[in-house]
Amino acid sequence: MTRRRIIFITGFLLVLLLGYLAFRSYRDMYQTVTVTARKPFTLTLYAPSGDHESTAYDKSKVFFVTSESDKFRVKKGVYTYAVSGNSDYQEVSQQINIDKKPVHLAMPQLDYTQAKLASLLSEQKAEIESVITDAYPSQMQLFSIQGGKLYGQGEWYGAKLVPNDPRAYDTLRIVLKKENGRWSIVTQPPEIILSRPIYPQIPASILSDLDNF
Amino acid sequence: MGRIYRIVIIVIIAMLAVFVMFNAGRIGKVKLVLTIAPRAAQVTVDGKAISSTSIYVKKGKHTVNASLSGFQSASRTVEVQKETTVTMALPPQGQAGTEYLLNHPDAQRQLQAIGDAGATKTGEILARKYPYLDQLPILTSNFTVYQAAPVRSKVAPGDADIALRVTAYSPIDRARAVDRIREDLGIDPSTVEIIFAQAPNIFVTGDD
Repeated sequence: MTRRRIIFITGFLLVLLLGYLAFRSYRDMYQTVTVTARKPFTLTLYAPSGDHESTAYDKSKVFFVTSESDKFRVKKGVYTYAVSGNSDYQEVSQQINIDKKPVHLAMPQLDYTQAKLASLLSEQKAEIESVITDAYPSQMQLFSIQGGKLYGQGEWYGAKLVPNDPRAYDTLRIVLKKENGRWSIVTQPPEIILSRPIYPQIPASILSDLDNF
Repeated sequence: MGRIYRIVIIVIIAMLAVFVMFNAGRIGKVKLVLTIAPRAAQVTVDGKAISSTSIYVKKGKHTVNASLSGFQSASRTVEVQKETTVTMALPPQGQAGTEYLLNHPDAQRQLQAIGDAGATKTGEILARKYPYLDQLPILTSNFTVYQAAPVRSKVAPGDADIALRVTAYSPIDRARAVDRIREDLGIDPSTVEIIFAQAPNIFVTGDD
């Protein structure tokens, strides 16, 4: 083998090696993101804002938008993803660090907006309140229902039961749930504080909202 | 030279034979250490009586039973994958148990030691989970807030958890106590079970 041939083969191998390393480094810059759709919601991934500490994101820097289950290759970094529906739903957003492991983004069930829930409540208020007064006819002569609100997609209801004489009785809290078109009381009996360890089936955000107003 | 080789080989074979003889029963098994108080308790593992404080068992589930006249029996099933210690303290039952402990102060000390170790461990877990515990109790002339054991929380058996016990005699003071829980302990009251003593709920009793 001539010296020239040896130099050629060595050079060729070096180029191959460098090419492979460049390919690997390019491939390692990206990560797979899979999205599981939940109709009728849309998931939007916003590109990094540049400031990793900030949870704010620039709505003009859209990386991808999807309302279908899909798979994407995304450059590693900190992103924000937002799930939105039509104007009846409250958008939720969360920061996410896409790094070493593939990421799976599932679209959560979105809550209705306060305006939508308020309009639903006006239709159902009488029915809900009659469920409470029918369950506690004598007690409800001493209490009134105040601050009633719907939560989630209108399937949860929470309110305070405020005594007519606040020196005689405690203000209590009550939660109802709508299942198969019928409202039923979940927190039996109504209590001063509704605790998450006692009612794990009620979303924590509802209990927290009720206990703190 | 050949004779020396033969002696060395015989010695090695003899040592190997002794090692195998003493360890044959342990190959593929793991150590299960039994810390039972009182030590006089009769202990069985998977129904087989055990007289030592440790045995070697095959990996998998094993049931340890302990009993002693005058004490409540105890049973525990454990998944053993590596060396595992099973600690059981049999509580005294009736006059016989009390008399036994009076006559056997060493058994009393063994029970106490296991109880102390468990309490310390539980205390450490609770302090990590509830950093506000050192701010309890809250004592005022109208109400008190103490740490208590949960009553209604759906806590997994053996999981360390707490509740807050509020003692107040009027609805206004109970509302103030909840405000203090928010402000002094810095917690959302919905995150913990709060037991209100002396607080009749007419939605339960129907009294008014």
